[in-house]
Amino acid sequence: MKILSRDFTTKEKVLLLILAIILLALVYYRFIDIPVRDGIAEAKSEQDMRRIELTAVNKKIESLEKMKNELDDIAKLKTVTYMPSYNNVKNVNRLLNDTLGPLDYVVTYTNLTRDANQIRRNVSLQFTSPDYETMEQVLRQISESEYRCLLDDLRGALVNRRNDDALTVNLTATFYETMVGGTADAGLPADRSAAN
Amino acid sequence: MARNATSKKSGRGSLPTRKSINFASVGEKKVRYGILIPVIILAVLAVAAFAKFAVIDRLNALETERAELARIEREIAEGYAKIESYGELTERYAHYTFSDMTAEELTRTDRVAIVDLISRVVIPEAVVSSWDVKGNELSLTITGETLQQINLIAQKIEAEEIVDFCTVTTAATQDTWYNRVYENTDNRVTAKIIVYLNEMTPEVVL
Repeated sequence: MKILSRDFTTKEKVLLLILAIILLALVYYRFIDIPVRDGIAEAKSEQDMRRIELTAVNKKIESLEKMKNELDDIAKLKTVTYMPSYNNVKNVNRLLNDTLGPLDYVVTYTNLTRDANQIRRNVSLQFTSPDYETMEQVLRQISESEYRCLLDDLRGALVNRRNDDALTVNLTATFYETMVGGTADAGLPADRSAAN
Repeated sequence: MARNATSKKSGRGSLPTRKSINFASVGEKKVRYGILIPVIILAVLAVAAFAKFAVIDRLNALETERAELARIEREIAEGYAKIESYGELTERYAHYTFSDMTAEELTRTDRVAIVDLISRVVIPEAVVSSWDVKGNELSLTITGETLQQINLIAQKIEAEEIVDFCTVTTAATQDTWYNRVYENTDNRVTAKIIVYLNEMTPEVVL
């Protein structure tokens, strides 16, 4: 079917060709180029965000692996001590009472410190022991108790008491607790690590 | 206007002559295949190149980026599943770790081991009148029969695993009490021994 009563001239044909190319380019730009470009940019930006998340997840896994290895090493130790959650003062009192009960003693809670989750309960003990074996037993019971405790300064002297030799012992010890699973109360000191 | 007719260039009265008498082809243009075919081939190549580089490659690039994103998301999901599989490890760790303890605490010589040393090595040989442990240093005041015996005790102490070295700082045949000196009637020797203790090697590598 002939639309026009005559054929297109060469000029018209060239113009029509250019018009068709422009039209095709516009269609390509609108329906292929823009969506593809946007899609790639969106995917790349999402990838960047996810990569940050992945790094955090991998770090967490790495730290958990380290924790697991450390716990495996701890399990191999001769004595495994447990750091109870804050506030464990009642159990510490019970332990000291059970250990020092038959002896003359003075217990002073000198101070309580906190570094992040680590709580240190410092205790000063003074007791009189009838003999060396009893003293050794007391120290062993405290340091090897189920609650983690480190003995520090230790001073002892032989004294003559009622015509009988005895030992007076002065000791400082630290009981360790953790804030993990613990409940903050009025006695909880400020976190020293946060202040630094 | 093209015609299938030729005219002789002769003079007047000459009539055009026609070599073809196919009147159906009158007015049709002659197709020049020599130009048309290369043009078509070039056009097809251009369309194919355009489709390859501007459409297929771009769509492939998009698909690659989306596949990479899916891979990262899969890795994240696997990571979370692994974290989940550790259960309450973090809580258990908080109760058993040594990581928050200081280097001094981790390497401090075990006080029970020191008391054990005094009990095994010194007490069977001499009277221990006092001892003092501070940091990694032990001061002992002991009374023995002779200075030679004190020296032997010092050597035995030094042979212990937890001891770095030890030295006898004073030895006298006198007892002191509140800055007053009393004569030691039985000639026994009272000595002060300083014991430098080895730092412990932490059993757990942090």
